[in-house]
Amino acid sequence: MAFYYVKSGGTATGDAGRAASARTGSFATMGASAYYASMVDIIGGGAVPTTAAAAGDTICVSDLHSHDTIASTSYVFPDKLKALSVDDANAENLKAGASEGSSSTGSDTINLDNSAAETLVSHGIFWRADSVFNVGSIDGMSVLELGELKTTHTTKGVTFGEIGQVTILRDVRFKPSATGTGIEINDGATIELRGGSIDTGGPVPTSIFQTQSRGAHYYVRCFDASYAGGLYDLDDNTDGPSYDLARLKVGSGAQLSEQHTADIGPRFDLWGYGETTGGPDDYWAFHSRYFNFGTTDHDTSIYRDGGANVDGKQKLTALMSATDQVIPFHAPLRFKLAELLLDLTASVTITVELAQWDDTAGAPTRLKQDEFWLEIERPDATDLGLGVIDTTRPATYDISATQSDLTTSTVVWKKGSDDSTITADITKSKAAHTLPTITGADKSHVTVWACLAKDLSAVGDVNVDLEVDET
Amino acid sequence: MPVVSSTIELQRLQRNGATFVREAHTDHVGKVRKVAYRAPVGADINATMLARVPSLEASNKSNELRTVYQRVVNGSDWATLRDSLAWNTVDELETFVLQRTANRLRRIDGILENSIIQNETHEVIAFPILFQSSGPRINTLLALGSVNDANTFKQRVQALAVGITEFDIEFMPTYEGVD
Repeated sequence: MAFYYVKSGGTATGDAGRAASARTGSFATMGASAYYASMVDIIGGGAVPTTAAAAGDTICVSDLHSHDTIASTSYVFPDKLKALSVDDANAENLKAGASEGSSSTGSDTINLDNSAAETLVSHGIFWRADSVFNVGSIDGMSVLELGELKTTHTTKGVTFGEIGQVTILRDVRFKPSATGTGIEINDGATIELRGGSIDTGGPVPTSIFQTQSRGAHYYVRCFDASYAGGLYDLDDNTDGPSYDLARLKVGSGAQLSEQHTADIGPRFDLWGYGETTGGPDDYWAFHSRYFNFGTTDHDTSIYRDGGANVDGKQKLTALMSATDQVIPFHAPLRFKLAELLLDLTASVTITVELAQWDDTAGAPTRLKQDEFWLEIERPDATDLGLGVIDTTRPATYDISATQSDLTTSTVVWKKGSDDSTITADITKSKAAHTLPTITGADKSHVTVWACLAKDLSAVGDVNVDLEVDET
Repeated sequence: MPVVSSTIELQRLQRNGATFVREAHTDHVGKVRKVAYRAPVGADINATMLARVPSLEASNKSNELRTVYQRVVNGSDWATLRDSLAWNTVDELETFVLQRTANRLRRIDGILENSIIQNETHEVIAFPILFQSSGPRINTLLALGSVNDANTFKQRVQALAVGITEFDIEFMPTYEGVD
């Protein structure tokens, strides 16, 4: 497990910049002959050290280091090699700030490569590419912390990995250089972002999370995307990528999602996000897209009067907008309405109230039992490990018959910012749907899904509101 | 080819004054693209919708290239996809294919010599589109005969890619014996 030292101006030859154990103290004390001039010398094809970097080695780069390759370069990481930006004054301490890559010619590709089943690590390094920027290789893993990733390519962003690549990023800042650039991943690749942001001041990216690839997966938490014009941008997307996003900041008026009714589309879940308009209501609980079946949004335009609390904290109403791709009984727009911690030692009743509403088209036809139903995932009272799914979808289904209407309800809904009560227009269309009382063994988590399988775009959408009765 | 129709199909005024908006943009082949966002207080949602059209058209164009490429790599018929392009010409598609191929080759060049066997696997994955394709420049490439040798293959792609300005076709000599 050797250590290699790098700082611009270094003159080390042979193994002079290599140490068997970690050095302490400053680069000045080491002297220029004890460190290499760039990471290119070690893993970028320079082949300066007599003893090449091997698996598990560490490259310590001064935080004051800056190197422009002025050429396309591949940094090839042996397995588990760590490239660390360290304090110039105390090389034993991590400190972000070192810079590597290309930034001057405008046409240099930069690759951070490894091999399948191998992991590369970068900490605190500001990577630059003035053309294409690729990180990772097929079936490999890349772990990047702090630092920055920048490309000046006009149409491509930073591309993470090839097929099956796993990328984990923590507190990494992206510097897009053109409106069309973003964070791209490939077939079957997974990227996990914890923290991080988009650098401001340059061109505003149209969308930040971009993929056209089948099975690609984004897992994002606590990322500031407010500088981007939108979160994702897809077309002809039949490949079913998935997005699991939470606690994001998005730009005012930013595009949250898009859908193509002719394509299957992605599964997209955005939980708990704020927009940059400010104000106490500048918080939204969810925006969800379930393939090409439609979208579900936290909605405050219509809400229950004295209605439900979700998780006992906040009133939430979901606006479900299904498309003509949904299929009654079989293929609904599904939305996870709540994840509840309930005491199932006593009986619990879960009710979802619906409001179908349209300002101009009048009262919509009431939904039927094969067009809207609930599903609840819960632990079983006897087999605690294997959960069960309760559903109000009809247990038997006569495909030649018209299903029954949902039960009517008398609860009052309100509309809009003036809290006006909705009366006649909605009376005929609201409906309660109650699951059979459920019980279990203990206080347990219960997941409530709402399933809408009718396109109501011609007559408005459906607001749903959850109510739990633990008496 | 343009987006031919843009409408606001849903707008919901929220309690904080923001408006939840869903736009529907229909292109010249009838495909509808819906965009959801929340407009801040005072925003002109019609102006926002119209301002979005150029970026949608641009992304339709670039996304079609990436999608066709991916589908052919995944086994779809090249000729069918080539002849049904909605946003690009065959020449633009060819340029894109060569560009992608060159980028893949460049990456392979950058990997250590002891991974060459694996790299050849990469090539098999990366280039089936070229061997299924047909177009003026790609036909030229294939007419040159066998391209089983990786080095020859790279040189031919390099020669054909002359004039493609968006990327740099220069290969990096990072391991002995290549270029």
